[in-house]
Amino acid sequence: MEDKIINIKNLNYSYPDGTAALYDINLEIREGESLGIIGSNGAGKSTLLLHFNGILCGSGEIDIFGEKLTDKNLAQIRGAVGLVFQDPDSQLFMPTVSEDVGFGPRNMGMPEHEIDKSVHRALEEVDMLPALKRSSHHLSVGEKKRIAIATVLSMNPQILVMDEPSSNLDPKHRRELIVLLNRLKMTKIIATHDLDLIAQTCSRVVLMQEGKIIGGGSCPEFLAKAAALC
Amino acid sequence: MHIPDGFLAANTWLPAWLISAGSLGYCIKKASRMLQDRIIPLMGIMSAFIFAAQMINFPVIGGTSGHLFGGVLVSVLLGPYAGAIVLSCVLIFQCLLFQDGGLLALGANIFNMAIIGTIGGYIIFRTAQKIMDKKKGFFIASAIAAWLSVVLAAACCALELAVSGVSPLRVVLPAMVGIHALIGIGEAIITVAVLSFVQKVRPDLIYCETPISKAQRNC
Amino acid sequence: MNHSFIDEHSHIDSFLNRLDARTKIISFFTLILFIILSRPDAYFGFALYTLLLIILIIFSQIPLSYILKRCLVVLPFILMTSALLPFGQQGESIVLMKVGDMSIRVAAAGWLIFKGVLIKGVLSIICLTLLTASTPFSELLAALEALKCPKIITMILSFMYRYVFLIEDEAMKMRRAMKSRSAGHSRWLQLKAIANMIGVLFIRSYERGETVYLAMCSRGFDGTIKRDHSFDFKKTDYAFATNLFVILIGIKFLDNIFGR
Repeated sequence: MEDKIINIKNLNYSYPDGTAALYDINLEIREGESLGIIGSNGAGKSTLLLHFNGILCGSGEIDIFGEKLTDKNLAQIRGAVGLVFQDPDSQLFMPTVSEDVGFGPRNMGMPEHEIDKSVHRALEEVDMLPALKRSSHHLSVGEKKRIAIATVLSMNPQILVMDEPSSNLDPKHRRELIVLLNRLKMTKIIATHDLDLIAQTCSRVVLMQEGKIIGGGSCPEFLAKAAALC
Repeated sequence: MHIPDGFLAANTWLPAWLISAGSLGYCIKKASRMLQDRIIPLMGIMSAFIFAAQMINFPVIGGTSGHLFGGVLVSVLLGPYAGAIVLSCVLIFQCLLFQDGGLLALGANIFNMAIIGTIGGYIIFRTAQKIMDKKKGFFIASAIAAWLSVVLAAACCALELAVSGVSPLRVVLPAMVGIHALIGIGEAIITVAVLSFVQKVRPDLIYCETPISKAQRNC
Repeated sequence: MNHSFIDEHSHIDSFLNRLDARTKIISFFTLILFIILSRPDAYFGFALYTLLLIILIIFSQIPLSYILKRCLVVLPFILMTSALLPFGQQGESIVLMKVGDMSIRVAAAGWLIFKGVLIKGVLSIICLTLLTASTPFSELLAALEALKCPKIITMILSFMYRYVFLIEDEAMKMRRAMKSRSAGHSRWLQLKAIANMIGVLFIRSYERGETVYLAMCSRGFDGTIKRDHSFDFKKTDYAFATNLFVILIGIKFLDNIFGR
């Protein structure tokens, strides 16, 4: 099965203080699909996302692009799996937007002129090129969210993983975000409790509760069932 | 207590610069061993926190207001080495962006507040804690250390002014120590109050209770 | 808290702003050094330094009102620190002022030191203000790094610069929420509330630090922050630095001849 881009089997994870966060997660993600992960706060969505690029390591099997995560391919996988955190203020930590968007490519050892190109391309993709020289502090939440996405797009990821992309957005910026997400053609994984966002951007959805995946299905049908649950 | 430029003679600010740079280098070495890669984001945001906390005024006796200096608070929370780095960075930041404290006097300011006030304060805290019993000792020791750290830093400041020859020690020392003995009371109260809050809510974040590897490790 | 003045003028396209940040740091450091090492009664020299600073301010196109405002903010602190200086010195005393029959007398030596220290202090603050107002903070840090300041320090300062406003905003919001609920509370309760607020701020900041670290790791952070900062040391930089140095030596020389 070559098109399985992420394959997770029997994943369990507990935090260092002993609190269990994930129980027996089994999940397959195919290339090109958009998967929504829904569930209430504290269901384990964010913890699961942190496993997709090896920030956290639970017990069990995680294959990404058919490979196990090792120290050797860690850097490569972190480049290929772009993880966007919920709070853009945690994602944007450099003094200027261009340095933030260039942070990933620079760590991947891209030559300087190519970094420049990919920074421009990534910012263009999210319609934020004019903000290139600005400092993130002076941007609005909507702008910050877009640039946060650009900071991973600049690494040319094959998988885009997003944690609550629509939180704190006003309706207008939320609509713009949905248009943007539908324009991006790579594999997408979106964790949120914004069911409407999932309905408009995802083809498949899984439901998490108390660290377990308790259901899933194709988007419109399952969402109608799940709406009552979360 | 930030000494501006012009007050210190070269026989004072130059050695102070050398001592501070050396001590800071040592602290960086120690702290990076403990915190590893996390040192930059963590220390950066902690410095921003102390800077912001120093801006918060609180009411003191008689309608006046005081503010936190935070040397003992930060060294009890983060450890003496990280604490000294944080305080130093706050001082550099204040000097560069707010002209609060001089550029040539920066070494002396770092010495007074980050080395004596923070590392010295931590040593006092540990010593006092060892003498007393475990439970109550924590707060009494931090109160004593907070008060003494402010007074000691002021005494160092007075000493530097005297060595520079701008004011005789018999005038400047009692004046500086006297004022800061009062300021130190506010410092002690607020330090203890903040520490007791953190101990109730997130005791795992207090350095001297669970040193190092407090947070989730990445693999 | 409003810190909008930071970097307010650093993007003006003026002679001083265009200079390499390293040149500016070294030049202003030297300038402060010359001012500090003057005799306390080198009034002729102080006048020339003031003139030099005025010329530099004109070159920077930064409004004079801005520089003066920044000085006025810091002046009380200098006055507070120096208030002691006129007293306690030995030797003959002079009459400072007469109020009716009373006259306030201070030692002549102390008064001399006080005036000298005050002038030096103010002049150095103008230098420092001019340096930081004419240079974007990120460029200043890159220059410090190029001048062998440890990278860990400049990076911490860079993160600090990014998050200080955020944390202050958070503090202000909490303060407002606190005030809206605590009218009429005793001073003791207020103090406790403020301490809790600082505690909450600490925990949030610590957690933010952890998240930022994870966000950095996600994008391939391996312990060193790579930045691309190219400096161009131009002819004008050489010219500025050497000219300034010659002028400073000149001032020192003139002060030695005419100042006494």
